Amino acid sequence: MIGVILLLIGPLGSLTASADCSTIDMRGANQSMQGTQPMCQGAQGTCYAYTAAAMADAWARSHLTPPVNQSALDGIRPTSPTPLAASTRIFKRASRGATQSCNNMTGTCGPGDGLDGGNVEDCLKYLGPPNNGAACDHRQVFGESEVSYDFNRVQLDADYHPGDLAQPMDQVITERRTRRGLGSGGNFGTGRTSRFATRDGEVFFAGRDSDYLTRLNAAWDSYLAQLHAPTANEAEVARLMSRQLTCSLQEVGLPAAQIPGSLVDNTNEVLRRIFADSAHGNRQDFLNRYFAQACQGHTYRIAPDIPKPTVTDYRLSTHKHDQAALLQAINTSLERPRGTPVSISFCSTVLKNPSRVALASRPLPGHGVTNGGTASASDDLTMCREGETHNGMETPDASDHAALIMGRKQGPNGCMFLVRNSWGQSCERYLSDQQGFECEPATGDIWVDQNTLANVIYETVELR
Amino acid sequence: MKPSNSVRAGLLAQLFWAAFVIPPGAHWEPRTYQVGKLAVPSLYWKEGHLVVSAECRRPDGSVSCEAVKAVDRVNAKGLKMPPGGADPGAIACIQQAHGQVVVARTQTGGEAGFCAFEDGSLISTGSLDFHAHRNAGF
Repeated sequence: MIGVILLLIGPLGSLTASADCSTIDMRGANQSMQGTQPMCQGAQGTCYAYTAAAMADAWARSHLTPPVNQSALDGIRPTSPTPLAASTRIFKRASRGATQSCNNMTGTCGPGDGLDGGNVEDCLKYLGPPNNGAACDHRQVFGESEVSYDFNRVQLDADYHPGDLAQPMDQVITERRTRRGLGSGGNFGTGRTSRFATRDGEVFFAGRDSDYLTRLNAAWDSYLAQLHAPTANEAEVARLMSRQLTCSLQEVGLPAAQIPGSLVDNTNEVLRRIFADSAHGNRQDFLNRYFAQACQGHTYRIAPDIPKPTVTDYRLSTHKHDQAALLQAINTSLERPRGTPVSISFCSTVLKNPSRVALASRPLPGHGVTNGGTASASDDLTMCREGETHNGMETPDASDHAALIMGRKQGPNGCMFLVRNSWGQSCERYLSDQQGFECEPATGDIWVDQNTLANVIYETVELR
Repeated sequence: MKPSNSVRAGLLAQLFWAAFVIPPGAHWEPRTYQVGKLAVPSLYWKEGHLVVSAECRRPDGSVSCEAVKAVDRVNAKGLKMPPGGADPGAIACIQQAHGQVVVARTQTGGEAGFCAFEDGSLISTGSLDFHAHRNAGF
């Protein structure tokens, strides 16, 4: 009898969680993610910036006034996540003070910190009003060489100079808006048509973003160490660090013959100046100045205005991890007209081994969990669930992560969510025979059973 | 001091950690990536969850290079992950395989991470991620 009741309740429970699983795919024609492709954050802990950049771009695409032919936007991904991460740090430090917490995982916001760990919400606040922070074209900093494209957008960048991104952005943007008569049309809107061709800087940075940032950070550390030496001469130290960095770049990826020598020299001088200018700054200021230099000529403001992000907390510790409510909220967001992806903060373990997550997703002792199970969670997931770290490092297979949900479909075992990750287009990283899990070889996007995924989501961020 | 459960599990996994072997009959699919201006012909062995640069395949058909050897050097149990959801394969590249991370462009316009070695060979960070977990026993 009990078994019969459970058989009846089971399907009803699923229906309650998501009554409608009609197909939604935001990569489709005239959808906000049309023509976009997965990006790769590499070894940098900047998932939050990759997620926020994609959300902001999707918002701009889906709210153009007047609408632009979507086919003209195929393959265009303007916002570069790493400069966004750097700018957001500066912005948040300025708005909350250097001693305030900028990072909910490490609890630090020191000026010497790098860019690892952060919040999607902060990046969106930096880009949106009233701050209206400048975004940078991804292809300018880390993009393809010999890329050119046509589309209408308002250019803010003609007057940008190194250090602009470190200035109070409300002043900069207000000035630029006034000068250029902004106010309608957005970054793809009614401005002049621009055609970007290859520039020296674009060639130099192609294909090296992850390792390049690592080397920038290392060079900054060396720079500081040199400055603390008794005989340090700031200009000479900057020259040496710049040279060291530039030469080491030749070891990365491409043979030296692939790097035009003049570009090495030109970039060397730029870096030398930035190092010298940073003598009284800090790591974040240095990165910000570097990206301001690299983005020069390719900065813009995301528009139409990004709304204030809606953040919903589902952490176990707040007793809000109600799986049915979580699924309903995500589905409601997916179904909105002109829908844009939903950001999720979750345990990335689910992408590697869902069965491990299912075991670990049982409620933690002392926490009011509504998704069933018994009280025995693994240490790994406890740390992920609570957003805690051990000696500043997360456990290897329970990483707090951010990604996008941009669709759903009916799968063999129920509804599945379409996840856009930022680990590149690499299906080989996943077990191909996992139930409730599909990786699309052509895109690297992942379909995940929605109940499995919901077990490990602890925050969502929406634009609506 | 007694070892923790996670340390014990790691030691146990090491005992059963078989070296990665590529069978002679493995089917490799050609792929091409773009690293900067350089086209990088690559090979994909689906069953082995492996994407490596094409020069790893020798004239006699065997597959050997620094990139392939790195598969046995990575283990998810030993990774020190920074906050912020980094690609575990990229972290394994730096910390364990001692390579350098580069980001390539796929033929469809997306990005893909690779680990580059001194002999010029490359392996995808996705491959390293998979095998780091396999070598750790989960």
